[in-house]
Amino acid sequence: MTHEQSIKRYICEELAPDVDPATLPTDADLLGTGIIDSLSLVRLVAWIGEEYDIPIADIEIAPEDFNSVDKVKAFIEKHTVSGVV
Amino acid sequence: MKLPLLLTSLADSAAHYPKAIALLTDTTAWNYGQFWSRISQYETALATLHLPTNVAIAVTADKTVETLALMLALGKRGHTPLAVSPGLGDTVKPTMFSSAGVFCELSAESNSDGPSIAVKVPAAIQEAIPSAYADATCPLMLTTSGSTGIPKVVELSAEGVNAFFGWGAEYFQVRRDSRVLSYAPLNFDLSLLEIWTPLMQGATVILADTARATQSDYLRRLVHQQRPDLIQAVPMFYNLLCPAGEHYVQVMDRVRHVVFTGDTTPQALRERVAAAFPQATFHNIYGCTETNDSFVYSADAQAIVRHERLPLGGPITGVAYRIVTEDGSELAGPGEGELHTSTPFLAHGYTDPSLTAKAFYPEQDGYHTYYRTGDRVARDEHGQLNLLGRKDFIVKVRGVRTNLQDIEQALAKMPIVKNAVVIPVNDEIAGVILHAVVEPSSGHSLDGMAMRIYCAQHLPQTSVPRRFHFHENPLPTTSTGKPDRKSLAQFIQPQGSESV
Repeated sequence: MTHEQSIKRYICEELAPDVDPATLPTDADLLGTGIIDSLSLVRLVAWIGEEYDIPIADIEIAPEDFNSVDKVKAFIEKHTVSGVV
Repeated sequence: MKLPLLLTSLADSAAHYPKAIALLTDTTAWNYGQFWSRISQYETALATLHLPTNVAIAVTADKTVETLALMLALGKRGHTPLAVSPGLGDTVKPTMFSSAGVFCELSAESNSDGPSIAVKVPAAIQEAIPSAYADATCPLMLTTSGSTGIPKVVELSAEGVNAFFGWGAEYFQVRRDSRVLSYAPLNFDLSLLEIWTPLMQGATVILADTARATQSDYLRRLVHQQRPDLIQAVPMFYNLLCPAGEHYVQVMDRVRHVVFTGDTTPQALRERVAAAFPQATFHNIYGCTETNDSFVYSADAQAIVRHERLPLGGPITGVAYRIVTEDGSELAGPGEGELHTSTPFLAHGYTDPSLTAKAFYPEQDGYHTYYRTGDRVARDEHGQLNLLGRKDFIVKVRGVRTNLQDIEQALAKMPIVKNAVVIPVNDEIAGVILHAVVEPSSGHSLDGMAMRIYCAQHLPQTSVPRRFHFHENPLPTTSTGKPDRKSLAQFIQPQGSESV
């Protein structure tokens, strides 16, 4: 499963069950569309840390880094050694 | 209907204009002579039931000539009818009837031998105390939705109903040659203008068939063939009469008065209705069962389409109002608050005195009694009032005041959406989370992403629902036809969290 598929699956299963992963554009504004808010952002970041073994506590988190599937994917690739898990 | 003036007027019409048409159904025309005779027959049938004198009696409010005759016959015999929705569940009746001192429900029926009356006594009604209602002159009891799920019973006042008949007849020019369409269910307060006012005036009432009330073709045929000059209805009626996407709208030029009531009428719908009735005067009416009509905004076909949202308009003659802010003080200038009204048509109160005490209060001068409408309004710097929605429908989401009905209206504008209800749910951390329950339009399937993108484009971020739930069947409604929010709250949160 690619990062994109994995991120979409988490978002659609855990945060927005009404959204079909196939219809979730990778550049969609996750905050503006109500899929995530400041509270579910914390859950998303925690999941990223656990799923991709990223030391979240040591990284400065900016909400805008998680505002689309593309941005989440870029964050993961930036903070994993090879960008591939 | 226990109202001496109305009964006298009907007797007068029957004596002097017996051939004038009182009521038109899809199959029958009843003239005043026949109708008065029918009332007398029901009076005779009632006598055989040996009901206690001067008690309120529930009537199954099927919108038929028979039911109207039964309600008037009850009034002639000194009984106050309580109009009960035919769809009202049997589970709420014992509590509701007990609070109103009602111990039985009558249904009007007819057969080849003439009128007959079916009597139903709810199983758990023994505790009802006949004659428990406070105002022996009360002409009619109606129900209005209550926050507990049990409808509240409103006792109308004789002077209020008489005053309303006077205002309605004058404002809408209801005369002996008028033809008034009755679309609302008989147990709605709208019937006071649609049915009882024209009967008081000796005019003709056109009864829309309840079973076909949501059929567009039927309603169009009805308006074309029966040619009413006054139509009062909720936006759904006009949507059915003038559907979107039609290239040609038939002109219906006999209609002189078109009344919007009960809900917000969107601008796009008003444009279609104005095209259909170019000669009419349009009225946006605001009122409650407890106060009857309080504000009216009247305009011609050009002016009615100009506003994005229709203003509340001005208070009807004799109506006093105040806007009360959250700290309980009266608003003097522009601003927002809850609307309190005092109208010449004010009800006596509810059958439950504790509910009356909460909702009604006397002015210090002892002259006016005000009713807390529960509606929030805004007054601008020009003094113009706009309805913001139910006080109950305004919640704070992350500190931002949010009107649930604004969100529902925005969702309902999507072609794929037939109905939408937004439920605020308490969240331990977030405070309030908004859930939307959406029923798709016929032939459409719902896509959460498309809805979210639409909301993001049309609503503030805090108003975008966090959760969408799709409801393939029609959304449940209360006995008064409003969305059943309690039932929907259970639908969205089986885990036991609480809606606000």
